[in-house]
Amino acid sequence: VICIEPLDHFPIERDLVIVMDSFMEKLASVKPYVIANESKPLSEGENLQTPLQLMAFKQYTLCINCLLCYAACPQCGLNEDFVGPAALALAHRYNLDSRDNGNDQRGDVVASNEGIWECTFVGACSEVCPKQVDPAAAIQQTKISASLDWFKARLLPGAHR
Amino acid sequence: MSRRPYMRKLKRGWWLGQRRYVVYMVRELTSLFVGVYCALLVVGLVRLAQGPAAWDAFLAALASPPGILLQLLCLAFAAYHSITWFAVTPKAMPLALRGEPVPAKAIVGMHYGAWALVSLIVLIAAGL
Repeated sequence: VICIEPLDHFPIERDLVIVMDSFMEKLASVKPYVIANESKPLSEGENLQTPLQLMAFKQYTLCINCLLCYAACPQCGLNEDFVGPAALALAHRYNLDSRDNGNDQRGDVVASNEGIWECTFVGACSEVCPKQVDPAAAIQQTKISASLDWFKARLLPGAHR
Repeated sequence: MSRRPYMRKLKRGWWLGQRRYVVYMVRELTSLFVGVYCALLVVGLVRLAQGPAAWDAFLAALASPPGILLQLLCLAFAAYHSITWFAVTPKAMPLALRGEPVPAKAIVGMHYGAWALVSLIVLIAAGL
């Protein structure tokens, strides 16, 4: 049996058409672009990247925003404010980028209750992903790095928040 | 013309529809038994603080058939919880050694090794 229906967990505009405005807002909220180090003058030239540094995040660049992960994720259905797998995987992609300096700026959204901590690692997002982005892995890795950041901000001497 | 998008409601039994959601919910259920065993340890501490008589009664309750059944249930669920967690650790904590990613099997193996080591230490400390 082949079942054709609109994407789950999104408002339906008509027939198979869903409203994806909420996703676009969530995607923009994690600042999915390279936030470069502004102190480096242009005269120093381009930001070179080794193949190894590229490999660290390449898989997470392959997302095509198909929204299958949002339709598969029960947490997206239970809480419409959940930032969701694709947006969080893209935040992880830029945080891992050696040219990027925006981890702190993304933290308020990414490491919030509606961000990574709403994820309960069902893992369905990674199973349905047509590009093998593996958003579930990205979110679990972000949970570890965000926890380390939280402790560093409170325990290290000279740290303040 | 105003838009009136329709939002479908999540059904109460949403997790029964697909195998992966059922497996997920079973794993969530195991946390309950891990919690029960933690509570049991706290009760044991309280009984120990109350004196030798209370402690002996606690030990006798643990050794009774219902006590043993409860501990076996907790052990089974805790083992399932741990094994399913170990299986996904390569995803959650990928390691790289000198630029080469550590194979998934090695990461899982290290977790089992740590489990065996801690179990051995507990058994030695318990005097077995």
